[in-house]
Amino acid sequence: MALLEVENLSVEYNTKSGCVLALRNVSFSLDEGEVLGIVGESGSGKSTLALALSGLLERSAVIKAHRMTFCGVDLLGNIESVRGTGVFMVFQDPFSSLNPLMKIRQQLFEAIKVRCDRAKLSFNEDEARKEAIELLKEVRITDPEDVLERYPHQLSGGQTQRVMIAMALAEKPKLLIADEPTTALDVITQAQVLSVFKNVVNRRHMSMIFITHDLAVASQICDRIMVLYGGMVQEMGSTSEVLKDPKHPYTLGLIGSIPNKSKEEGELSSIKGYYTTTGIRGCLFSPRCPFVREGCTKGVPRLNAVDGRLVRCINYGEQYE
Amino acid sequence: MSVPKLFKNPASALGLAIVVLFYAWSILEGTLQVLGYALNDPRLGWILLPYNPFETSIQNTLLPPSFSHLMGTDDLGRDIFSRVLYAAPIDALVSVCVVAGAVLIGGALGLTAGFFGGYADEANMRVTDLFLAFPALILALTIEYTFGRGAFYATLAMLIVWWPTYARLFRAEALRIKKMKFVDAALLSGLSRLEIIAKHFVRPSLNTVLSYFTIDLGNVILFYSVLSFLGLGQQPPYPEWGAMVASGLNYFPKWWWYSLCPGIVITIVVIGAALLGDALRDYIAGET
Amino acid sequence: MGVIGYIIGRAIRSFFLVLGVAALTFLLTHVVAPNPAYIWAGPHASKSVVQAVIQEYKLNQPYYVQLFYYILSTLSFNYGVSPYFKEPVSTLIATYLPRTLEIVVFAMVITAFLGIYGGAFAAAHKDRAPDYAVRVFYLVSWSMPPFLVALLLQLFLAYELKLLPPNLLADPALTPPKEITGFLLVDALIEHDYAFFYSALRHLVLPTLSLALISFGIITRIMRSSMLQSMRGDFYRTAIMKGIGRRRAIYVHALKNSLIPVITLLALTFSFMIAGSVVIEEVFSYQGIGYLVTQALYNYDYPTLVGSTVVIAIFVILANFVADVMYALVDPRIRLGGGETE
Ligand SMILES: Nc1ncnc2c1ncn2[C@@H]1O[C@H](COP(=O)(O)OP(=O)(O)OP(=O)(O)O)[C@@H](O)[C@H]1O
Ligand SMILES: [Mg+2]
Repeated sequence: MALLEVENLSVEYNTKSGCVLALRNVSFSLDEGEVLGIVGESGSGKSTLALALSGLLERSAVIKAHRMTFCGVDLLGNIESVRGTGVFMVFQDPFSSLNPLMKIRQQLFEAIKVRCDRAKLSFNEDEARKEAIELLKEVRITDPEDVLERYPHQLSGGQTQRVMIAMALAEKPKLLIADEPTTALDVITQAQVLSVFKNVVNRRHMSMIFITHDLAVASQICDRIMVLYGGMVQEMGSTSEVLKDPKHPYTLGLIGSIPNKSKEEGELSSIKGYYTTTGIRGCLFSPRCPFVREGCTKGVPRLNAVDGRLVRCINYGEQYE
Repeated sequence: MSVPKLFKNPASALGLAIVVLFYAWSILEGTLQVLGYALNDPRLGWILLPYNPFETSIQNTLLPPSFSHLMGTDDLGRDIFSRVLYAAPIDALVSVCVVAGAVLIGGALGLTAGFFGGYADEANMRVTDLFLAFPALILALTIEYTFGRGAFYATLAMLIVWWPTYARLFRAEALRIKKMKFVDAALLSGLSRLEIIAKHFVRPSLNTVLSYFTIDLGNVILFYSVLSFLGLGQQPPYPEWGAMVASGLNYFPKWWWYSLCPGIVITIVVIGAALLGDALRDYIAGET
Repeated sequence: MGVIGYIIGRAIRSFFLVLGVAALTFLLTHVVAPNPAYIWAGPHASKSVVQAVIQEYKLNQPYYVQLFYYILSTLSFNYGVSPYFKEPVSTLIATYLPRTLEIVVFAMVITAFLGIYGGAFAAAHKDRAPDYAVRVFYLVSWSMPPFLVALLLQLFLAYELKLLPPNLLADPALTPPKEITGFLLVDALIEHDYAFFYSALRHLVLPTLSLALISFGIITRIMRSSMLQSMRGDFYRTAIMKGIGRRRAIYVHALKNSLIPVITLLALTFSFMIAGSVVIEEVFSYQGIGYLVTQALYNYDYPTLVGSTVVIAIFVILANFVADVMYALVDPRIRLGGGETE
């Protein structure tokens, strides 16, 4: 049985100026130990998906899903019982994701205590301290005793993300969701933090959903990749195949905009035009698609299975939803 | 969100209704009073009122509220409802004068300080700090005592304690606007600095200050009622809301309506301004 | 810089503000005042009294001499003699101010509690019934003139329900304890006069409640919006996501982070309450500093009015200083340095 199963998940934000359909009928499943990458440009609904899975959407958001289960638990109704110990999420901005008024020690202890309470174990400060130090070592923080007594503003961005990972490990979740965890970091730190993620996930045999707008980063860590555009899955398949042989024109464009690759070709073949999803008939990507043709605006293409992959493009079967 | 839709919200509609009613009545009644004064026929001032607000009557002292006297009568047998209505224009006038004056002074000083920065800004901050170190009421009392009592001096005193808040507000606005790109462009285009302030800073900052302005009309009325309660408003026999409450204190609690009715009227007007101000703030926030 | 440097900086700033207060009141009472001598002496003073006043306040000297002596006397708490009470103004203030501070302290505690938890509670139930209830309550209490709040409390709690005495400092049949600190409750305790203590305590309930009611609205309002902002923050989402429970996330994580603007506001509330005491003490005939100010106003007693104004301003500056220090103690970003302060 898959760890996470999502079937036709849609999310709509109701704001004063109207409704935004941020996710449309997203379906996927995730096995134990698997790492799924979610890529797509800004506004494509990546964060919305992550927040929906961890039950953190604001109240104005309307979630609909045929099914959204985690280890057989329905996430729509019973998210509280799997928070932290089941699903743990690391946010994009390291500088705001920890409570600025609490020491790292207190925040780690809180996480350890949640796990102890759930497992009906007693919480012991001394043991918690030892455990916290072990965890900080595991995420390669060099001076764990010192870091424990610090406040978040005394840590660097990379250190904070490591502390977040340590906090995740403290709760021993089955699924780790990371929403662009390295975007706010400089290149060197980025690589280091990325390798911590890789290590931790391998060693602990956790599943992970790794969100990024950068295909290059996704290719280093993910088993499978899901490409989102306008809140819809455009392409999904194993990382190596998607990268080697992108089928959807949007995926092709994304690969084209990886910097070092396009430099070789002498020019930056990024995607033309601006991201927008309003007032478009048919395929949402059609206004920017270099291969656009008549059939593209007839309707929204179906997500077709092609060579063990899913692709939403009429080039692989002219069928509509 | 369009303007009519804004007032679909019952609270906002209530606020708008109260404020419009209060100021419309004040303009009407105030005009009649001025006219009566100019034509030497004060009766014009109470032509719309159920009773002459100055007419005393020994038989009718301290009557409880009834259909003939909606808010009862006072110790001299005067109709409190008529007196409350008669006193409205002065509160309306004072509130507009104080807030508008504070916006002008605070706007001029705050915008220039925020725009030029440096010493101008430092001086502005220190002076406003100083004014804000006094409880506003206490400073206003002392100022009014020094210059004289009455609505005019009350307005002056309030203006002096009111402008620093606006100077702060406009300064913050100026700093916010200054960060925007078009200011650099304007500077490059060779406009003088004062022209730039006039062109690019005044309008947008007024937008932001508008809701504050509206709520503040109520605050000034509240503040003025306290001054008048302490005997620093218009002098008797001219009716004043706060002063009426104060003279009713001697008859409290047996003749409770004497103090409570004018007090409740003040509350209603202030609530109206606060509700309207909140509605405007939401509206402006939704626009930008 | 560290916390010590920060506190010293604030202390210096406060001292300059006190000098500024002296300069500003000097400007008002000696320079722009029409006819300072007559104002200082009072409207009914005889020629010789006016002459004496001119001598005492050095009104015939150049302004810089006057200013020098004025600042000197301000800093040495010498504000002249009250023509109405016939006592030194500083003695009067020493008697009346502590009584007001007593009710203000109690009122601050109630206001802080009501404001902080009311605001947090409203934010936790945003756009639902409890939120609307809290918002209506603070809108109304904030829009009521202070005298109306006081009158309504007096009417219901004292006259209707007869739970509390309607006015005065204490039962007039009791002899007040010797004035040691000026704080009635403290003095009564020192003298072991428990009957007076109990009476004074009952008498200060209504003024205290009135002060709390007129001021808790601002704190609630700011606390609510500050909470809403904290609850949009990532750290709050982290707290929820960890599974510590909504209640702990709100009332421990978000609440603590929302307190920072409220601390600054508490100093403002202090200033607001002292001003409010002018009206409230009038209604309850409670003889504190507010009562002293109104008496000075009614009886053309300028030295008492100006002296009270200056002392009150100094206390407000002090309250701001305390708030700044508290702020530093709550926020590690200031306490330990290194962080950004907005
Ligand atoms: N709280 C919100 N209220 C209303 N609309 C929202 C809200 N959050 C996101 N949206 C909208 O939903 C869509 C998806 O947003 P989302 O944050 O999921 O994108 P994203 O892929 O994470 O982008 P980024 O790469 O910038 O983080 C966008 O169009 C956005 O404008
Ligand atoms: Mg995002």
